[in-house]
Amino acid sequence: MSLLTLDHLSLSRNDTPVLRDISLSIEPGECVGLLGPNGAGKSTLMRAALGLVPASGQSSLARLRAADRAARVAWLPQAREIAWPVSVAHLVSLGAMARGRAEDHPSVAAAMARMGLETYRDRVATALSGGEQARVLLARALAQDTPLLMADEPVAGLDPAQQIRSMRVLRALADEGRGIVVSLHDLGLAARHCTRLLVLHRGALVADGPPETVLTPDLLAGVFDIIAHRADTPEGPSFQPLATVSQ
Amino acid sequence: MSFSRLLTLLTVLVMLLFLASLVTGVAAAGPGESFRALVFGDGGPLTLVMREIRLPRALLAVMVGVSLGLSGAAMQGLLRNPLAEPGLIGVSASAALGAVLALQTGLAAAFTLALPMAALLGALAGVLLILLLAGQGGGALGLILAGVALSALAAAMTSLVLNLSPNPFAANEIVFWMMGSLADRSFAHVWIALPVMAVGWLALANTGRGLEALTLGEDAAAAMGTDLRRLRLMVVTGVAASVGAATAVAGAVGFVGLVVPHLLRGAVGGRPSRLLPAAALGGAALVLAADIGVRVILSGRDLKLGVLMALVGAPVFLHLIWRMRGQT
Repeated sequence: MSLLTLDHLSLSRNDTPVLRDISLSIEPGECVGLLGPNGAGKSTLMRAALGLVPASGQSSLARLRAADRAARVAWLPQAREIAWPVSVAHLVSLGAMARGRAEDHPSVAAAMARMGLETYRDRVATALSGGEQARVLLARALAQDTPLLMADEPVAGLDPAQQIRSMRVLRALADEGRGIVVSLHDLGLAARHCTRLLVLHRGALVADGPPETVLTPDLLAGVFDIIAHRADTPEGPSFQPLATVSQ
Repeated sequence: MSFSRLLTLLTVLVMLLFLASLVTGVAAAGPGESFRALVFGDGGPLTLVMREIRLPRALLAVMVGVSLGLSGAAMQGLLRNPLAEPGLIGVSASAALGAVLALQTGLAAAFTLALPMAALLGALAGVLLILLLAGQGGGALGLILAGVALSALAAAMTSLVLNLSPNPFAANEIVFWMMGSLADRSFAHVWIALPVMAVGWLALANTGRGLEALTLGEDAAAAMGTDLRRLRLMVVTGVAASVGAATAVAGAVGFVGLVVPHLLRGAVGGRPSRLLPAAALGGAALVLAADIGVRVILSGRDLKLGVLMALVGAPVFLHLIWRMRGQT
């Protein structure tokens, strides 16, 4: 059964279309990279799919009751907000709480271990560096222990090693049978770690398929406005943007 | 310190201050004599003082303190801002408008409870307006802006009434009322405030889980199963009922809702749900202590509770900000 089904999802703001007639479904075992230039509608698509912003069309998750939805999907917003000086262990346990589970549910310890946070338990979350906070917040989403995880630019601002580690965690979750939807700006990271890529351009879904068939020079020029050098390494493809197509 | 230990400590503190409040006053009588008169009742003047003056006064101090502390913790949790306080949504300003109308129309002179009842009605009317303005979506910013607008409007209308008042004493009376005090209150004040406050406390006590989720921001909280509209409604009505009733019987008592959650946040590990009961007890302790202070420091001069609170509260708050520098 699909973890998420979108049926003709559209959304306009002040008569400007932000999402145009998007239909797709996400299956267990898929690590889906959501790509597109700034303003293409990546965040809005995920938030509309979750029912956090009203949109026309159908989303299988948006019509669920809030508590039921929290059992089906975990959401990691782009804004890394931690309002109060709580401990790392407590912050991660909020994921279990969203499912009505106890603070010491095994999913909490598992999420901490997966993100390498065992020694951070009693640290104050607000006193951590930005990169450490990003890991803690991803652990919080993992602790929700849902079949589907949607993450909005979870690796933005992380150092290269942490970017790779975070993507490995997401891919491992997909390989274990969960579904992942992750928006990214690094094309190489997306191509190497995702099983499927979706490309948004001005609110429309313009490509959907395995990384090999999606990231063509024509698409990079037409959607991203770049000419990029592609190198194939033993780890997978890498893309180095060299120039813009337009001025 | 563990959470249960903290709550036990605060409860003991409130109980001790409650007893201290009962034996503080102008009537010359020892503690033992006072408590005997309170419990057994000899029908003499001391029994009357204890049962009709000091007991309601101490009870009101606890009720007002619980309301302000709890509301402050809930407001800070909802707005995710340590500078938020209950007056932010315009409750105090609308209660003042209700009070000034009662004074102006002569209702306050007609019967004792007219003033608190009018203040309560003013607070509730103000909050209905807030809910109309910010109840539908809008988020934290919409709520703050609506609160600022309502406060300004209520203050302007209060000024207008005083401005056009043919009664030169109205301004005087309202100024004294706004300073906040628990002097000369009776059980009638307890009974008018308690049911309204209890409704507010109940609403606020149920917001813990939602406030915990809000630690991660509105978007994440919504996706974690929190109904943000319901949470906002619970906090706003809870604050309005409890602080509206507190303002109605005690006038404007500032700083409690701001300082108490701030002082106790570290002790509860920053957790908004644990801050609710801790701030409720802390608020009760602070108001009891301040109300003892106004009777001891300038006995016979009717020092106002709100004045002392601001005099002590503002420097404490400055000290906190001083210590927080560079930590955030």
